[in-house]
Amino acid sequence: MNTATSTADAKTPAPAAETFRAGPHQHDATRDDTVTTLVLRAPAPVTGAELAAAVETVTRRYEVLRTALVPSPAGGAPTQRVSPGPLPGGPDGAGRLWTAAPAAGGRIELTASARVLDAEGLWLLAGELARELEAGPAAAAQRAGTGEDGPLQYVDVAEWLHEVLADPEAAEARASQKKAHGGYDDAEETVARVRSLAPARTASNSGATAAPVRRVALPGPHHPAADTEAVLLAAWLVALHRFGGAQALAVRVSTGLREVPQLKPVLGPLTAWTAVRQEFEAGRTLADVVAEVRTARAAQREVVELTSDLSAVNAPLGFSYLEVPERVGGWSVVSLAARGTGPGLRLTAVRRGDLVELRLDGAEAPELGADVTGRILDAVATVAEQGMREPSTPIGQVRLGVPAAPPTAPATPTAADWAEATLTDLVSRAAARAPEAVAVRCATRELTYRRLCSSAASLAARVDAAPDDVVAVIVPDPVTRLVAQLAALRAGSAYLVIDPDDPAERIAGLLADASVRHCLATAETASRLGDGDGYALILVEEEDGTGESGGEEGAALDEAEQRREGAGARGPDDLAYLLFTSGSTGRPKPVAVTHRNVVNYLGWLADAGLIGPDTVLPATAAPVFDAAVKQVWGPLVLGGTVVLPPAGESPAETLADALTGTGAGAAVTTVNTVPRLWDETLRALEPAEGTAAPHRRNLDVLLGGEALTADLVERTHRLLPGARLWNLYGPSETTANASAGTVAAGDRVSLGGPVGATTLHVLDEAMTPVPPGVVGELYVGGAGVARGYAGRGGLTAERFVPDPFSGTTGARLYRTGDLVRIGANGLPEFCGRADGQLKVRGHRVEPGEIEAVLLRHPAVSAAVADARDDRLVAWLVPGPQGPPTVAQLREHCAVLPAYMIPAVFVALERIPLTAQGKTDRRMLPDPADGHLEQGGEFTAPRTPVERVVAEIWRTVLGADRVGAHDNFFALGGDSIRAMHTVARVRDLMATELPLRELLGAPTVADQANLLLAHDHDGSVREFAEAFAALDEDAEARTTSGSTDDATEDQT
Amino acid sequence: MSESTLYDVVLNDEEQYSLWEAERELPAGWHREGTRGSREECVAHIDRIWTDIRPRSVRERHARHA
Repeated sequence: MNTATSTADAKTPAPAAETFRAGPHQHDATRDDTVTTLVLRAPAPVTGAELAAAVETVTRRYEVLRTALVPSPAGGAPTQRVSPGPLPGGPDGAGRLWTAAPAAGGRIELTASARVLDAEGLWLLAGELARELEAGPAAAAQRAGTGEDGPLQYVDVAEWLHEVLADPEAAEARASQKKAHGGYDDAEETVARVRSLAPARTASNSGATAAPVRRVALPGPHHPAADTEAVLLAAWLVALHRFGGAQALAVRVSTGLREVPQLKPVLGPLTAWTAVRQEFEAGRTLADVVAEVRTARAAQREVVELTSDLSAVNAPLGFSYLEVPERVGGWSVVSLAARGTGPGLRLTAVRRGDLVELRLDGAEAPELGADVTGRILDAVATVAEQGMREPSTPIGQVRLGVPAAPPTAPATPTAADWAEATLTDLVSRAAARAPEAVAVRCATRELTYRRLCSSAASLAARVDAAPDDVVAVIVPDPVTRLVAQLAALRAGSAYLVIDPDDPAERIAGLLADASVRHCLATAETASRLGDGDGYALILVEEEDGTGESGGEEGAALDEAEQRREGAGARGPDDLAYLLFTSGSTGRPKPVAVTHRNVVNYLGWLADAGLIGPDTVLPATAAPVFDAAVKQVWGPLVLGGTVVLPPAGESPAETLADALTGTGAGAAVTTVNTVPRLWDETLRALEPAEGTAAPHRRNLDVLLGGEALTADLVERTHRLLPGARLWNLYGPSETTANASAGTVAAGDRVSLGGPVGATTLHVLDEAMTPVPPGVVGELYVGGAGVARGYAGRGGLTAERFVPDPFSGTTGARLYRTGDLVRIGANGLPEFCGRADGQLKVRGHRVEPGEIEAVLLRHPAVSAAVADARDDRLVAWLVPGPQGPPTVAQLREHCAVLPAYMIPAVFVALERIPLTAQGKTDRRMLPDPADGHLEQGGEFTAPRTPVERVVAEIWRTVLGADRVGAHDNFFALGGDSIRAMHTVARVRDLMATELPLRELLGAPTVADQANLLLAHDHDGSVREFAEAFAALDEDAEARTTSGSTDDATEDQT
Repeated sequence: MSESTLYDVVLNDEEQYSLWEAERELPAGWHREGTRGSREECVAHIDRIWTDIRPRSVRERHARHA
């Protein structure tokens, strides 16, 4: 290429270069260096020499064309160095950052880095060159001689901008921009999601391919610029929302400073990046988003010079819109292209006439590959076209491309064999095959299949139930409880397990809600039930596993049962169990699951090799949860063994024994728990440093109930190289699990494929399937879809909807509320919730249920519940009489099950709201900043050991102030945090506290006594005294300082 | 699915009720019940009329053996 350069005059000594601080956004341009290329055609051919002469003249006129950027050695803003003469061309910042050269076909090509010229600056340069060439060298010489005022130079503009920015008005404008900057976390996540759609880069696909380009036609060449920009920016935002699933996104948008009239003719880098934040609520239309974007952009243009230094250049998502003029100074424009190198992903839209070209730029763009880039650009183009043609389309209903085929699985062979069987049939068959096999083990107690069935049969004989009647089981002893569950089924009814530790008020509510007809309870639990209104109370003796085997009696009763049921009275479509799950309107919902639902699932488990006659599975889930279904009936339908942890043993202990093969854990073949508990189990067993000593246990590890992390997958395989790890997914409404898959180390975690006779659909708000990569709501169809919510027709109708995709007439889909997308491997990946439902320590929690209870407290006028750091937090606005104490609130919340009682209460003046008037959960203050007082008198820790315990609590619970009588659980403690406490005691004092004893010692004073009781070698006392000495020192040093801090906080 | 979207109350041959966007084609095996209104109106109506969520075939079998 014959680049036009000019040589410096060798005869006169060159004057020294001058240096200035860089312009406010020139620094930005070093981080996102957009290179703009403009190709022009002159009316008459231009020779290289003519162009060089014009370049020389213009370069002498504009300092910015002789400016180099010198990086600051400290990494701060660079310096601009203005040379007296033209600079040599060069790729680095020290050389010339622009070129002008003749190109093929009599064209002229201009390129410039945004460090010296933005796109508009490049047009101005083109205009200057055209003017010079038209007038010829004589005119230039003449003008140089007249002493005519020179043009406004960029260095002066930069200084002026720096001054403007120092103004208080600018600070105010920047503050509003700063607000818009919030929420870049979502942008990071969005970029990561888009990136993960691309297949892993290999040698074969890493070659450079042409970057895809998409075109959008505008309604006409005179479509206003502000409208076009708004439509395209809105389309980019909506496409990002649909692919990334974020509910709000901030994007940096290039904004020209030439909106300021004085800056119009200035050659220089005059583009700033300003942030535009958009919220995407369901039901909003494209027109809504376009209008909001347009308003936000208009406001930004008004004050652009005031905000340009608080630049959004580091934001991971960007957008720029350029319009190409038809002619520049008598030259016609052939093309204009802009390439950005900044962080993340950026959409560049270049408009010419009635056509817009879209490209993806930025550091992440090359990583996406042509396929993903093309799909994203297609989506942007589709949304933009829809936005102009049918602006009333809701953002969640724009069709973005060819949908993914729904993952579907047929019924497995075992499930097909069992099609007409009930759970009871299957357990009886297993018992007939191996009556002496161990069905249930609990510490030293064992029940054979014969004994289990005969005990259940005896009890069933006392239950005079009709099919579909609900029998509540309120039994603390795990073995007796299991016998009672089986008895309920054998009596032809469905069971509902109630946690005997729930408050009486809640139990009464659940029994009424489930229309319970019979209650199996022990003498002790029955005494707490009060009046057995509407149901028959049947007292159950504790099953001790000894006594008469009663084999024949059991067989005889089997026949009696069969006589009673009569031909065809019972069937697989009868109810097997009810299970309460959290309800968003304040009432728990009873999920009604049939035998057919469960048996299909168990058949799949059998064919997946997850259960069999040799299975030994600890039922660590609380029996009121969905996971208990698989843990109990999984082993029992095929002759395996259920290990029931004895009352009082924590699931973490049971799992740790299974993992290390200690004690009863030695026989365990399979474990099933939530990722969080598994994580803690591993943590307790991983050596403090370095790589773990692997355990040679060939366990099947089934994790489900909350999102599984890649880290946990990796650690599981490291610690248990022989383990087979499964990720399970599914709400109670689709029976235990809807999808599952094995996960190897390094795999991308997905929800797996559908279980037997199940179909997974990812649908948009119009219930239309979405293309791969687009986030939609997961709907589950097939044999697992439960009957509904017992007694709640309206709620059932809302969540169980007609299945338009099934070949079975009248089939229904369950609408999960889970947002997923089909990932690069064709399997669904979890992306969040469509509503506010939470997972806290693996438990499904509707914040609405907690909020409804809080609002019933007379001193609470507004309440919001949410999860932070896997703990439930309640924010509340106290009524006029002031805030209640934590103790009062906890007592008030006791109608909720323990896992739904907020760990932390925070008082607020008002609930923060979004622009649309909904609760802005992002703006809820950090709970550590605003704990409500515990109530009662505060007693500072009194002894050195109490002080140590209080200090450990501060770390483990994140609490500010811990008193001697404060309660571990009231401050947000739970069994997991108790395990942390045990670990901390071990690290600090080389003393081992049994977890169970710690859980029984809820206050600081109790735990201090416990520590002393276990202080066999004096290390606790020694550490506590050393700590006390340090603590006093520190207090003495900081007393005055902390008083000042407190005063400052008040103001 | 904006606030103003109209729905129909629908049911299948097992007399299981649900909601379906008005004017949209119904999947095979589903019929319109006749009630049309907002989501809340339809849900409230179903709550009133569908108090026993057992499928029709199960209900009838239970009645035969009662």
